[in-house]
Parts: sequence; C-alpha cells; structure tokens
Amino acid sequence: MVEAKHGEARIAPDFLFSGPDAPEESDLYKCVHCGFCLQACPTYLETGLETESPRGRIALMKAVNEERIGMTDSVIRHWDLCIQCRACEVACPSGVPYGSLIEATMAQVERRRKPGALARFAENVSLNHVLPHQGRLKLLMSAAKAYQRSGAQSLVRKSGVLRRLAPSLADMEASMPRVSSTYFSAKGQTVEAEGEARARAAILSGCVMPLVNGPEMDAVVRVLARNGCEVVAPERQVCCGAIHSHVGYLDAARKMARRNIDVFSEAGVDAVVVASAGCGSRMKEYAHLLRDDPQYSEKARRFSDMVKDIHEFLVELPFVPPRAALDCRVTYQDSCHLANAQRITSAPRRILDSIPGMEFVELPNAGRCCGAGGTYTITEREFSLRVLNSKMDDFETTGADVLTTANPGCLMQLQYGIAERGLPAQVKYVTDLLDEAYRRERSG
Amino acid sequence: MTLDMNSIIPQLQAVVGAEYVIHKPEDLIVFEYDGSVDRALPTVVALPDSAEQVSECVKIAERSGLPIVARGAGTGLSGGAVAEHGGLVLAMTRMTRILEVDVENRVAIVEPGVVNLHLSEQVSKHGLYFAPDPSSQRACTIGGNVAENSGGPHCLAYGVTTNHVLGLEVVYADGGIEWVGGIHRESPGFDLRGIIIGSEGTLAIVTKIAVRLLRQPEAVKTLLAVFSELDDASAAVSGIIGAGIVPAAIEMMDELCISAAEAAVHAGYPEGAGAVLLVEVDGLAEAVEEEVAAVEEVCNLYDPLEIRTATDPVEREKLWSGRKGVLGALGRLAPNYLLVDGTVPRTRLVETLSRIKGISERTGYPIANLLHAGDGNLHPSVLFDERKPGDTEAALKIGGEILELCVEVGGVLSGEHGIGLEKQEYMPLMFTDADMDVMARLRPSFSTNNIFNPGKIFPTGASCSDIRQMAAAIQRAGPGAYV
Amino acid sequence: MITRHLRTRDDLASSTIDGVEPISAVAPSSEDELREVVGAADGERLALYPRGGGTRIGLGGIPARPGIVVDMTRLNRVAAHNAGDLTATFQAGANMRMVAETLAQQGQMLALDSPLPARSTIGGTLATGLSGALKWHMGHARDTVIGMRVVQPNGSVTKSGGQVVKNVSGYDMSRLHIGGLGSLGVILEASFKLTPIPMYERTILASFDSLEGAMDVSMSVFNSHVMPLALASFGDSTARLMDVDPARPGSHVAFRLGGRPRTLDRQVDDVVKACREARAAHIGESPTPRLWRAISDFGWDADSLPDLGMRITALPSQTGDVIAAVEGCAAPDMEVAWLAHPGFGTVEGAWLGASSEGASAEDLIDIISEARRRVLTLGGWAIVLRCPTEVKRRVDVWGGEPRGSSVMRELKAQYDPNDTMNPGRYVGGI
Ligand SMILES: Cc1cc2nc3c(=O)[nH]c(=O)nc-3n(C[C@H](O)[C@H](O)[C@H](O)COP(=O)(O)OP(=O)(O)OC[C@H]3O[C@@H](n4cnc5c(N)ncnc54)[C@H](O)[C@@H]3O)c2cc1C
Ligand code: SF4
Ligand code: SF4
Repeated sequence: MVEAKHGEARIAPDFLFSGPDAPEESDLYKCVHCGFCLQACPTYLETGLETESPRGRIALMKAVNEERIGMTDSVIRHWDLCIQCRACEVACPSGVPYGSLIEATMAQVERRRKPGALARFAENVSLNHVLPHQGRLKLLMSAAKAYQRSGAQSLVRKSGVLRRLAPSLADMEASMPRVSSTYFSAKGQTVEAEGEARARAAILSGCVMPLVNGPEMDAVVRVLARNGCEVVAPERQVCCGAIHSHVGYLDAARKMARRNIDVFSEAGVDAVVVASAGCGSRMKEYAHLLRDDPQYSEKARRFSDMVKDIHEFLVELPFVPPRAALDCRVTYQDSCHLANAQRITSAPRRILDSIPGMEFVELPNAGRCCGAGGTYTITEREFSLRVLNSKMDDFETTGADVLTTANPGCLMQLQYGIAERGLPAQVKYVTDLLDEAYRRERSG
Repeated sequence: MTLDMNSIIPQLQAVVGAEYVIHKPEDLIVFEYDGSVDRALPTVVALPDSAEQVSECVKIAERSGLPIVARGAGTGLSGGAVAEHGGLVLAMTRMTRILEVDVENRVAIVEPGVVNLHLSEQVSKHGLYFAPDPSSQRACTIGGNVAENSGGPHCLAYGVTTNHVLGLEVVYADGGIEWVGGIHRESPGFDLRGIIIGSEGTLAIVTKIAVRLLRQPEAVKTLLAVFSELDDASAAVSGIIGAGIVPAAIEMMDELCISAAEAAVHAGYPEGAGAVLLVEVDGLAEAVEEEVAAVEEVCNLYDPLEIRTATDPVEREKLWSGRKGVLGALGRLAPNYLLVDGTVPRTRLVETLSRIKGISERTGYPIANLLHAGDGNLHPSVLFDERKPGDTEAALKIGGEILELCVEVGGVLSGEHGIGLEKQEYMPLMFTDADMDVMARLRPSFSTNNIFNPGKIFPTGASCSDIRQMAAAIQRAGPGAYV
Repeated sequence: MITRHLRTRDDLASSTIDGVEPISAVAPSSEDELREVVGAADGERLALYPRGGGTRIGLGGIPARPGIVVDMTRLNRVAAHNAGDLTATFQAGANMRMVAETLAQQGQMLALDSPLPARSTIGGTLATGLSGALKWHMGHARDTVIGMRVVQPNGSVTKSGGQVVKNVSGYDMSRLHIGGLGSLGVILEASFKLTPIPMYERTILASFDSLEGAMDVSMSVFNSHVMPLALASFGDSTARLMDVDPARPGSHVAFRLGGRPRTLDRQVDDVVKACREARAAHIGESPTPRLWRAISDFGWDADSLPDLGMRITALPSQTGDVIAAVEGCAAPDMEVAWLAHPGFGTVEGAWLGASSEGASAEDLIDIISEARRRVLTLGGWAIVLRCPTEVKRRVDVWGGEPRGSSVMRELKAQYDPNDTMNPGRYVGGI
C-alpha cells in the first residue's frame, strides 16, 4: 500500500482524504519533524513509539495526503489513540495547528469507517441522539441516578455479572459519572449581580456538566454574581459540539455551533462564560469550524471573541479575593483544553493562590493529560487508564487532599482514579473552592 | 542478497516483544525521517529494552547482512538516523532509565533513550545538572548527543558532550557488549570512548552512558548588548574572548533576525539595532558580578546603543526571548530558509559575516545570521521561497558557498549538527583522501562489517554540484525552534 | 641510508629504553625529514620509538625489539598562536616551558601542566596522557585538543579536527593518539583551546592530623560552588621529597584558587571555612608557582625519582581508601609517599628504597601485586609509571588486558600493520 507508483494497485478512494473536511495541506507541511512535541505527548510517553506520537500521526496524515498510503485500520488505530489533548500544539515551535489537523483527520476517518462495533453504535446513539437533547439526556441520567441510588450498582459491581457478560460495558459502567442530586438547567433565567453590576455574562450550561455537576454549576453562577456579574442562561442553547468534533462528526458540530451562535448573540451580553474547558475551547474555535460557511463565518469570528473561560474571565474582571480561609492542601491538574487549546495556565492558579489559608502544591507533570479526552475513556479504555495511572502516581507524591481541575471529563476521570486507589482526597473545580471561601465569608 | 523478512521479523519479535517490532509498511513511514530533510524507509524497526536485547537484535541483523541504524529521538539535523540503505532501525526510546546517580562523585549512569533535559531535571534536587544543552534538549536523547557529540549555547565555557561523558557501554557489530571508559576519570588503553562519541552511530550502538554532572551555578547573569553595526558586535565578541573572559554563552543575531524577532516577540530592541549580543555569565556570585562588569566594559568600547542586564530568571528569559524566538520569526520574512552550520575562528567573524553579506548582495537572497558567536559557530540562514522556480537550487548553492567560505577562513563544515548525509559531499573541502582514508579505517577496526549506519559521513562519490546531495544540505529546523 | 641528512646522536646510551639500545637515534628538523624517517623505517620493518624530552620515556612495557629513536625536539615551532581566538598550534617537539612562556605573553595558558616543563614536550605530554593537577578543573588533556596532525607509519601526514573550538566534522582521530603512547603514529602537531590566565592566584595549604580530615575537606570543596584551579593532597614524606615545609605534620591539602579580586577573596573565605569545619590543624598560604611546580614534578624529578611509581585511579570519594592502600603496601626499608588529586580520584604512589642500591625486585613485585589487589576491591585500577626493567620483565605495567582490548588490537593492526610504532610498549603488549 506504500508508494503507489505507476502500475501498482491504486489506493481505493475510500481510503484517501477527500471533501471539504480534509486536513489543511499548508498546515501539514508546517511540520518539519523536529520532534519537539514528542515529550509532551501522553501516548508517546506511555509507549515510546513514534507511531503513537504527534510527529508520527502528522507523518501519517502527510503520507495519506500524498497518496503514499491509505487510511488502513492500522493507520486509523494510531489516530484513534490520540487523546486530542493538544499538548503537542503548545510544544511545537513551528506553529503546527495539530488540533484542527486531527479534527479534520477524524472527520475523514469517520467518513470511511463502517460503524460495526457495538461501542461505536452506542457512541453514535449517545452523541447524535442523546447529548444534543437535554431532555433525552436527563431521562438517561435519571435512570442512571436511580440505578446508582438503588444499590443495584454496588450489587452489580460486586457480582461481576457485568464484567462477565460484556467487558467493555463493564468498563463503561465503572466510569459512569456520579450523577448529582440536582441538575442545573438553562431556562432563560437571570441571576442578579451582587452589588453594583460590573458585567453581564451569559453562561453555557452545556450537555453533561449541568446534569453531572449541577451544584458545581450553581457555584459558578454564585461566584460570578458575587463578583458583580449579572448572569443569564439562555434557554435554547445546546451542547457545544466538542465531543462530536472529537470523533469526526463535524457536520453535527457545525449545526450546534450555528444554533449557539444565534442564541448567545441574541442575549446581549459582554461575554459568554464557559466553565468547562473542553466546551470553552470548542466555542473559541467556532470561527475555524465555520470558516467556509458564508453565512456564519463572520458571526462565528465575533462570537468566538466573546467566549471566555471562567478562570480567564474572573482574573480579567478582576475577581474579589475571598477573605475567609479554607484549611486544605490543594493541587491543580491542568485540563488540556484549558492549558493547551486555550493556553490558560496561570489564571486557575492565581485564583487558588488568592484563597487564604490554603496550601497550594504543584502537581508534578500537571500539564500532562489525565487520559480523559472526550470519549477516550470509553473508546480507548485500556490506554486511558494507563495514562491515568501515571497521573495518580504523580498525585500521590503531592500529599494533597483536594485535587482541582477545570473540565468535567477530567473531573470524572480523576474521581475514578482516586476511587480506584482508595485515596482520601476529593476532586473539585477551582470555582468550587472559591465559592466555598465566599460562602464562609458570609457565614462567619 | 534477498532478505527473508518473514523469518527476521519473528526473530526480532521473540527478542523485544511483538508490540515493539514495527514492520507494516504504513507504520514504517513514521521512521523514515529525522529533523533534517532526508528521508528513507527502514525495512523493519525494533525497540529494544536492554543492552542484551540490542545485542540479540544486532546479531539477527548481522546474520542477514541487514544494515543497522540506531535512532534516538530523531531530532538530528544531518540525517544520521535516516536508514539511507534501509535495514533495521533500533529505536532507543524505551531505554529511558536513569540507572544510578552518585551525588558525591557527581556521576550518573543513564540509558541512551533518556531525554537530555530529563536528566538535568532529575538531578536538580541535588543541585546538579548535565552541562551539554543542545537547543533541542527537551526532545533529544543523550544517546543521540553522544553519537553527534552535541553542543549547546552554554558549551562555550563547559564544553560539548565528549567533555562530560566518562564511559559507555556499547554493543559491537558481533553483538558483544562491553564498557569503554567507565565511571573513572581515566582508564588505560586507547580512548575508545572518545572515538565512539561523535561517530554518528557508525561504530557501535551505545546502550549505557556514564556522565559527569556539574554543580548548578550559584548565580547567573545575562547581558544584552545592542549595536548599530554587525561589525561592532563581532568585534566585541573577539574583544571579550581576547580579554580573557570566557562567559557561559555568547549568542548573536544580525539585523534581519532582529527585525523578525521584534515583529514576532516584541523583544523591545531599540531603533536602528544592527546586531544583538547576548552574554551569559555564571558561577560564584562575585565572579558573575565581576565578569559581567568586564564584559560590559569591553562592549562599551564598540559603541553599543544599549546594554541591559538581568539576574532574575523571568527577566533573563525576557532578554533571551528574541534569540529563542528568532527562527520561528524568520518565517515572517520568507516562506523558507536554509540553515547552514559552520564554525570559523572567532577572530574571523567580522570578515566572514561581511563576506556572507557580500554573497547576499551579489545573489539578491537575504541571509539572516544567528550565531553561537562565542565559539564562532555560525548559522547563516538563506531566505527563499521554494514555490519560485529555481529558488531552492539557488539557496542551496549559496549554502555550499558559505560552507566553502567557512573552510577558507580556517573554519570547519559543522560546528554541532554533524556530517551525516547532509554534508558528506563537502568533506573533501576539509580533508584529503588520506585523511578520510585514515578515518574510514575506524570501521574495520571496530569490525563493523559496515553494517552500522552505512553510507554516512564520507562522500559517496557524487560531485558537490549533485542537486540531490545539495538538497540534503538544507536544514530546516522548524521556524519556532531555537537553534 | 635513512639517517642521510639527519643528525645522529653520539650518545645512543641516553636513548636506551629499559636496557634496549637503539639501532640509531635521529632528530629530524622538518616535517619532510620526519615523514621520510617514519616511512622508511616502516618500509624496512624497523621499529620506531618517538621521543620528546625523555622525561617519561620509561612509561610502558619493554621495547619489543631494537629500533630507531626519533628525537622530536627539533620540531618545536609555535605553528600558530591566535590569541584573539584563544587557540594555538604547536609542533610536537615544543617544550612545555616555551609553550607556557609564549602563551603567557598574551595572558593565556594551556591547561596541561606536565612535570619538568623545561624538558617535556607537547607530543610526550599528549602521548602519555598524564597531566598534572590542573586537569581537575580544566579537564583531561584530551579536552584541550581541537585538532591534530599525525605522521602515519607509512609516512603520510593526516589531519583531523581543526583550529576552531567547536567542531563535529568527521571522526576525531586525535583521541587515539592522546594517551596512545605513540603506538599508532607520530604526533606531529596539535591545536589547542587555551585558557586565560586568572587575574590573581592564591594557594591555601591546610594540614590535618588525620587523613579523614584532609579527604573530608577535599570532597566538600569538590562538591561546593568554589572551583579551585587545582586541588591536591599529600603526606609528610611527599612534602619532604618536594621540599615543601608545611607548618604541621599530617595530611596536607593544597587549593589553587584564581580569579578577579572579589571572586578570589570569596574562594579563599569559603575554602578556609571548609578547612576549619574539617578541623584543620593549620591553615596557611603557600607561594603558588613553587608549590604547584613541585607537585607537578613529584615522582619525575631527580629528587623524588622513586624505585617504583604507580598511578591509581578510583572515584573521588574513594581517594582516602586508595591512599590507605598505598600506605599499607610498604616493604621494610622502603619509604612510601603519596600525592593525590582527590577531585579526580587519582593517587600517585612512590616507593623509594632506603639503601643506595635500591629496592629488591622481589619487594617491588610484591608491592605492585598487593596494591593492585587492594585497588581492585575498590573497583579502580593501577598502572606502574616507573620501575626497574627487571620488574617490568615480570609484571605488566598496565595491569593486564583493559576493557576493549580486542578493538585496541584491531586498531593497531589497521593503523600500524607492521608493528613499527613503539612495539611492545603499550597496553596488552600492543
Ligand atoms: C530545533 C533543533 C535544534 C537543535 N539544536 C542543536 C544544538 O543546539 N546543538 C546541537 O548539537 N544539536 C542541535 N540539534 C540537533 C540534534 O538535536 C542533536 O544532534 C541531537 O543530539 C540528536 O539527538 P537524537 O536523540 O534526536 O538523535 P537522532 O537524531 O535520533 O540520531 C542522531 C544520530 O545518533 C545516532 N544514535 C542515536 N542513538 C544512538 C545510540 N544509542 N547509539 C549509537 N548511535 C546512536 C543515530 O544513528 C544518528 O546517527 C537541534 C535539532 C533541532 C531539530
Ligand atoms: S493531542 Fe495529545 S495525544 Fe494527541 S498527538 Fe498531541 S499530545 Fe499526543
Ligand atoms: S513540534 Fe511541531 S514541527 Fe516539530 S515535529 Fe512536532 S508538530 Fe512537527
């Protein structure tokens, strides 16, 4: 299949890049294979294999682009194993936009891949038929909640029934999010600013986060209000589409993007604040996603400029440092989509630093991915856990009792890791701690 | 000779594990390159995990006459890790253990796949570091550093890799494993260690490295001096060296680099800056103060527009930012550049740079100069646009001309990137046939049977004007990279 | 015939090595003459023994067969001194004092201090690879060479490296000749990177009642921010042989410090403090040039020439153990003296017979094997620098086959197929 020269079997068109969502050629050739990205890549660090490295994955894209090879299963396998943490992008001195390259590549893969496996079917169902619809998602989550509460979960876990029946289902069950008791829902409500209003912000409720992390979303709103922000939660907003782009469903992602752009643009706000790093990075890149859409490209550009990560937004405000103290030892895991895609690393740390009484310790390799990465925990279970394992080793060296992060996927993954090891630590959002400190101010 | 890969692959798999033998044609593509522009597909790749596994792999390849190319991180800039004649690539990226750190004697034993910077990070808790600091140190392996005898900006005062390696465990072409040198500062017999270092993987495969560690300096101070004329800056470099000052690093950039860096990273150089010098001094706090004062005094003799100094790490980083960002910034001036690596005597810097300027004026191609000026190591970068017909060839021709110039003024073909495939055809500029014959006889001395990295270092017979070889002289390190 | 246009030494006896008298001794005065001599000797299967100042000609095994001694001292030009570039090139016969004086005129030096500089040459210093105390800070002899020209046994001259300080063009062939004892070719010319002479220098000499104290302070300074130009330790016998008079008996440590004024003060302060902490019995200052000259010459000049000299290398932290081993290997009627470079893990032991006829070969052989036994348990190794020919007949001065000896033999076969160069003298009988 290599080097399709004259006379040799041509590579079937199915196996080649085609259509609008192909990796940008000029971006591909920005890569000069210097290797600077290797040590940033979690999958390379686990394997030492060039095939599982950013440079290798780009080389494969180039080779397909040059029609030297086709997208065979083994080529796709190397792309699939990419967590899309985009750490490579930060490390790259040549400005290779890896994120958009892999996104386009996965769209090509999706086109060519015949969904056969049960896992992919389930993924398709949940992504295209559940995530975008809060109603359906809620229904599913309620069922999950009932299941978790009923004690059936622990019974099932203990009995190992699941594991024997369907190992991959069992794995998915294990990392099923702990559903929160209250949901956050965007119903077009407005929360008044405390004191003099300094800004008006719209909040993205998202898809999974409001359900899994309802109370945490409430905390975000409280923190914003405490800092003089009037907060609106536009009702017709939808999932940001991040997970869809992750696995190559770009058209679905575009549909959601257009809807969100319309909804938020109508809200008349200074900023669209996003508490989930993954969603924030997706929305900041709507401009790229819709670059070829004559109707939306300009709107998307303006919209993207309005999107602010919660930490970024708070620090820019600037937020009011809490006066009440918290007594704990805390560390911070950079969420890839915050650190690598949005290049925000100091804001969360500055917020943590501002809380009196708390001891902050740097997590070794804090910038290295935890293995969550969209659906990666599910589709690449084994690898995801390998990466998580290294993360937990690092965490144990800190002796911290609170591990903070900035993205729901990371939160769940880290919670799973901590539970597996039976560590006496909690995983929280940075904003949870800030909220807690503010609330203490009030109570004492 | 026909190779029976169907039998070789299982043999390799039995040694290193199936997961670590790469043989599918699609997968081999990711092992066809290094940091240079050369490319060639290996026949098979194995990733051994120990010296014993390396030895077994070598025996398997040697039995079948398969060439063997060791590979570190593949950041090399002269095609060293490219399997020019196919064969078995032994990628050392699983051998990443730091086996021993003897703090008291300041010696560490590491596997070849250990990334250069990782060693310094690991021993920093003891106040130690590994001195050779190639600009690629975040990525490149110590095995690769040994093979290329790599240097870095700070090798001016501290020397290059060979000055910091005490011993090597190596695997010979017959699979034999042996230490050369050791953990001691002297050992009896020929300095095989010194011969293997810098031999670009052609004599033996390195499987363990005993390195000397240095004590982290007590203080560091960086001085940035801006001149309006390149000549003044180069004269200041000779002035500093001539005054008996050996700073840790002296780096230099010319006007083109400055304007690019200014646009990209807003380094804040003053109007009319024609050259920038960055001098770093480290050591005892008192020594740093006294030496920086002396450096400043020398710089003042050459009409600087401005001199700034910093001791704080953040401030120092700011002074370095223009220098570190310059390659990336060159992309703003032209779509492509050809980065040449040569060294000239420091006293010939002024002349060399002005003749390079002459070449640029005569040919009409801009040439941006960035230099490890302290050791006379130049990286003139010819700016061109590969989309314009004839541009690439013209740039390559200019690159060759610059190398000839370096040799003519008493310099050499490569200061730090090695000969490899990139410059082998230029070797006759420096060496006679007799010189090269003597060098080449090292291979039979190590009984390599010519299986280790064949076809590297020495001219293959193609003439210097051969365009394929000329093309190989291009070094594109990545715009944002800091070389 | 080959001595046609050459000066033949009247006194062949002075060129005798280990009792093997040369067939002839020649002193070529030009590169061409040298090439002719070498090529012709090789062609006629005659052995060649290059010789510099003869200060360390005794190093190595007994010559395998009589041959021609090539006296290099007329090839003594300063080929280039590029002061602004801190580099210089010398012909191999240039003596070290002339080299030092030439460089000093420009405030520079070569960081190789060999014994008896008035006689020892560049070529000899490099070929033996044994340099003095300065090596600790500045690196090994091999770390100062940037290029070399060599006369191959067939008479051709080849070069490697260059005259610039940073260079990775081609194999660095000079590595084979530095410490190679002239067994692959004749070093003709070498280029060096130079070091600026420090603005000021001072030497601290501290005496300790115990060896432990001396070793403790050596290690603590070795691992501190102070980087002495040189660091050496010695015992009372050594002090006496060197004609140095420390104020107190015991174990002594000398620190050679240099730099600009405040830097030097700070170094002195730190070193003195370290000495106090190690409970020095006495801390004083010593005139720098004289003490370090004596340290370099120790074991080689007429006053301290031992019956048996050994050089032992282990790890810096093992220096004390090596010294103890050396001191423990004395025979009756023998005085033993040691000089250590603790930063380097090297100890030179000197055994001197009390009587005028010297020590018996038996005694010396016992000492060598006992010292080697003890050093081996430390993981180090020991070579014999000097001993009577009779002892050489019965022990291997190099201490047996080194690691890598099969490659070394192959190198010899490749580069000196006729076994012309210094036959029998190098490791493993090469
Ligand atoms: C942006 C950039 C900047 C750079 N800056 C510098 C610089 O400042 N200074 C400098 O000196 N270089 C520099 N380099 C060049 C390169 O990084 C060095 O040559 C480095 O030492 C190569 O290490 P590697 O692990 O990538 O080796 P590779 O490229 O994988 O291999 C290099 C050579 O080493 C051999 N090799 C590797 N491992 C072994 C082993 N275990 N045993 C035997 N042979 C082996 C290979 O066969 C090959 O010949 C730079 C490169 C880039 C891309
Ligand atoms: S996105 Fe992350 S996992 Fe994927 S190649 Fe880049 S660094 Fe590796
Ligand atoms: S760092 Fe950038 S240019 Fe270098 S190999 Fe990785 S992606 Fe390519």
